[in-house]
Amino acid sequence: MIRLLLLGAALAVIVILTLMIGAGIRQRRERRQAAPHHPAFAKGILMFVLPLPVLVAAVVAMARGLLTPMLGNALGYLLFLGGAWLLWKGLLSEAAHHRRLIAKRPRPLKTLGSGLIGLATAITAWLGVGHHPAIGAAFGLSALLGGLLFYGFDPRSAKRVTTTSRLDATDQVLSALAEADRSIAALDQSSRDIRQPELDDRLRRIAALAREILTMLEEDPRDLRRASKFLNVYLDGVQRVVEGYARTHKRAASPDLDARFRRVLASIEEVFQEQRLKLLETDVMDLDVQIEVLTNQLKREGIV
Amino acid sequence: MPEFYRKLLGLLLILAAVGVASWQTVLVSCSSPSAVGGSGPPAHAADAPR
Repeated sequence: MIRLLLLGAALAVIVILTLMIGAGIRQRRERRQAAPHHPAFAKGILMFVLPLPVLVAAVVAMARGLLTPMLGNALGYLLFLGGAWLLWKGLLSEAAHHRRLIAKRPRPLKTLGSGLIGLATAITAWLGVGHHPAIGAAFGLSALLGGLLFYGFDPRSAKRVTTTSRLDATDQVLSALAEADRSIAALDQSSRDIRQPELDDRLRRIAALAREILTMLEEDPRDLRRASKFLNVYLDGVQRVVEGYARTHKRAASPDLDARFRRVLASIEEVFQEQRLKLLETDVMDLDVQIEVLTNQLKREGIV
Repeated sequence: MPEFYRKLLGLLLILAAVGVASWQTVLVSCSSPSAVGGSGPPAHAADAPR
């Protein structure tokens, strides 16, 4: 009887543990799926770390006066570094492609990186180790195949956007957004140069608002035409004013200038908030129209 | 092929090819006869059978 009870208790513990582990795995998977797309650091660093012995071998070969292995290892290590760098850049551009709503087709950096890693492995096995060239090629092909399987291919399609008249506006939208991004980055840089907490906070808020507006424009590029004044006039103007103030502020502090700059920043923040509200209102209006159309359709079909 | 197996196979191939070639080249560099002072006695001459 006691044995049966013990067995039952052990089974209950096993079942509870299994359920807890299962729930943990599910939670982790959900968290991973919800996380923003970013390249895994370990994945990117792997090809920088794995060929380090080749560098050691090149140094040892040099110390022992072995010319061919030294040249082979040095060339192999340089190619490994180049391949690892291309793979890292490819992973970054793939993550950016996943994150963005509008994007060009990225350059095939991951594929090129895998190719370079394959070449580096072949040269290392042939000149560094002294294998037959065919064996070196087999090493190279294995590394190439491994790279392609582990890192995958680069995204093959662009995320395009078309205007209402069915014209491709991807390049136009991307260049406008990139220019606005540069302006915001310059704004951030200038805010670091101004060492006044109050003004710094306000500039940070303005930059955050501008980023929010850009995200909204990326989500719905139809608003780009309406927001062109904001992008071309205000964002550009803010950048110039802030950069000018940061330069002057470095040379000499003037309370009068500070007060004027504070007023300008207040009105800029107001304009940015208005712009954001306008874009939100457009979205709400669009949604209203869609709801109305849907309601009319449902009424026509006798569902409502 | 499921993504997990594809990545696992890729990782194993990378470790097998790049890892093996890298460590082999270290072993070869350390064990091959040195070109510096090549006319001298072998490293383990004292241990050689008489």
